[in-house]
Amino acid sequence: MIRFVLRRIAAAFFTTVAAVVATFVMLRIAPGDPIAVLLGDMASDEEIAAARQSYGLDLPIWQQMLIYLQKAALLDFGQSISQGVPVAELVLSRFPSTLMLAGVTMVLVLAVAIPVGILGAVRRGKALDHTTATASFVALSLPEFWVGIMLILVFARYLRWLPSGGAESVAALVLPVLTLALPLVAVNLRLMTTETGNVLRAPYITMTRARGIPFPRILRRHVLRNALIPVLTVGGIQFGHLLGGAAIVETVFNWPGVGQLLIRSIGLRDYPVVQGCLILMTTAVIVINMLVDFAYRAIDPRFRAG
Amino acid sequence: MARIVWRDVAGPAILLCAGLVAVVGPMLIDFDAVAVFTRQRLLPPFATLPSGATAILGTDQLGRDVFAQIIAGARTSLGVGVSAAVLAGLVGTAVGVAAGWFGGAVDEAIMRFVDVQLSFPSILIAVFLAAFIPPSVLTVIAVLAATRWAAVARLARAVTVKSVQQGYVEAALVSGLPTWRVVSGSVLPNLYGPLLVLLTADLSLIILAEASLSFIGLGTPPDVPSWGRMIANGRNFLDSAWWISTLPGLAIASVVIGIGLTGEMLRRRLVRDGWTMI
Repeated sequence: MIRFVLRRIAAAFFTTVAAVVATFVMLRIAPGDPIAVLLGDMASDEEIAAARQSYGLDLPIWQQMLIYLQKAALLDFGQSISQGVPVAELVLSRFPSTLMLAGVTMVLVLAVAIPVGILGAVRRGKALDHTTATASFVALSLPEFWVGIMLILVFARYLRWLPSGGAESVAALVLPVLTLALPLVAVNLRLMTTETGNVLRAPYITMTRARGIPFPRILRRHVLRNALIPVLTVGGIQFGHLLGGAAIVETVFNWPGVGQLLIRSIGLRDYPVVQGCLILMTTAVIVINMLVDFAYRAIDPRFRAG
Repeated sequence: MARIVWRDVAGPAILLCAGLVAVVGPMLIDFDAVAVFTRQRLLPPFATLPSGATAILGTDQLGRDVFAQIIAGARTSLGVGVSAAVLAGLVGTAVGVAAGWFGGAVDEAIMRFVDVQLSFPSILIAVFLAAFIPPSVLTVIAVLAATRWAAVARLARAVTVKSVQQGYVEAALVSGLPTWRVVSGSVLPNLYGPLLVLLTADLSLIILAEASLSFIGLGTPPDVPSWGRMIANGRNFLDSAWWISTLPGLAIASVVIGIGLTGEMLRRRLVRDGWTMI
C-alpha cells in the first residue's frame, strides 16, 4: 500500500507539471496580444516595448517557460493584466465558492441517488425502475446550461421564488446546485440500481435470505456495503470534475467561482489569470482523483491482502 | 415474420428527420445569420411579420426568424458533430490499434496519456483548447474531436489486444499475409460493432459540448448560425421573449435523444460475444 501511495503521488506530481507546461504552451500559441489589450490603441511603440519587457514577454519562449515553472513552484503566477492584483490571490479567493457549489451538489446527488437507486433495484422491473431509467436517459440528453436557463426562466422570472444568480443568499445556491445535480443524479441512480441488483443476485445473499435474516437487515449489512463502493468511487471522481468543469453553470448563474473567472478572463485575454484558473482546476482534479484511488483501495478488502 | 420494434425505430426516425432538415432545410429556407430587421424584433410565436408572413416560432432580439435560425443551426450542429465524431473515430482507431498491435513502450506511453486525458472533465479540455485557438468551424471540429479521441483509442487498443490473442490472427500472419491485411481483415472487423456504439454516445457528447462552447462564445464564429449561441442570446430577454432560449434547447434535446435511442438499438444488435464496451 505504501509503495502504491508513493507511486501514485509521484504520478500525480508529474501530471501536474505536465498540465502547467501544457497551459503555458497553449497560452503562448494563442493569438491576440495581451499588451495591446492592456494599453489600448493609443500606446506608442516605446510604451508597448517597455510593457513587454516588464512582463517578460520579450525573452525567448523556453526561457519564459523555465521562469514560469520556477515561479509556479513558489505559487507566483504573476499579476492579473486586467485587475492588477496577484493571480494566486485572485484565483484562490474564488476557490471556496467553487468548492461549496461542488460540495453541496455532491451531497444532494448522493442523498437522492443512493436511496432511490436501491429502491429501483429492490423493485426491479416495476414502475419506479422504469420511470427512473427513462428520466435518467432524458436528463442526460439535455444541455446543462439550457437546463439552468430554463430553471431561471421558471423559478426566478415567472414564479419569482429564487434569485437568478449571484451568491448573496443561501437561496442563490438552489438553482445552480439543481442544474449540476440533474445529470449526476441520473448517472449515479442507475449505477446504484445496477450495483444493488448485481449484489442482490449473488449466491451469498440467497444464502443469508435462506437463513431467515430479515430483508431490511440483509440490505443494510450485506448489500449496501458492497453496492456503495462503485457509487462512492464514481461520486468522488464527479466531485473532482465539478471543481474543474462547472465553469459553464457558474457563468449561467453568475456564481463567483473559479470557472466564471476563467470564462471571463478568456474574454478579456487576461493570460496570467486564465493560466492560474486552469492550473488550479487541473490540480484539483488530479488531487481528487488520487484521493479517490486511495479511498477505493482502503475500502475494498480485496486490495488489503496484496 | 419480422415485427416492428418501436423503440428500435424511434431513434433512427428522429435522426433521419434531423438529418433531412440539416441537409435540405437551408436550401428551402433563406436565413442570414448576420442580418438585422429592426421592425420585427422579439415577436412571439405565430406573430405576423410586417411582410405578411407568419413567424411560427417568433423572432429574436434582432428580428431574425427563430424557426429559420433553428433550421440553419441544425446543419451546424449535426455537421460539426458528425465531422468531429468521425475525426475522433479515425484518430482514436489508428492510435489505439497501433498501440495494441505493437505493444511495448509505445503502447505504455500512449495508454498513459489516454488515461490521464480521460481523468479530466472533457469540457475543461475543450475550453482549454478552444480558449487559445481562433474560432472557426474547422478548429471547433478539431477541439471537439480532441476531447473524444482518447476513449476511442482505449476501446480500439483493447479490441486489438484481444484479437491478437485469437488463433486466427496468428494463422493469418503465418500464412504470409502482409500486416496491414491481417489488421484490416482479422482485427478491425471485431472493432466495428463496439466502435459504432461508442461513436453514437460520443456524438451526443460532442453535440452537447459544441452547444456549450458556442454558449460561452468559444464555438463557431458569429456568422455561422448555432443553437448554443441562440440560447446565449436569449438569456438577456427571458422576461420579454422566452422562446429565444427555450426552443433551440428543445432542438438539441430531441437530436441527442434520437442519437441515444439509436445507440441503444445498435448496442442491443451489434455488441455481443463478449466484445464488451470499454
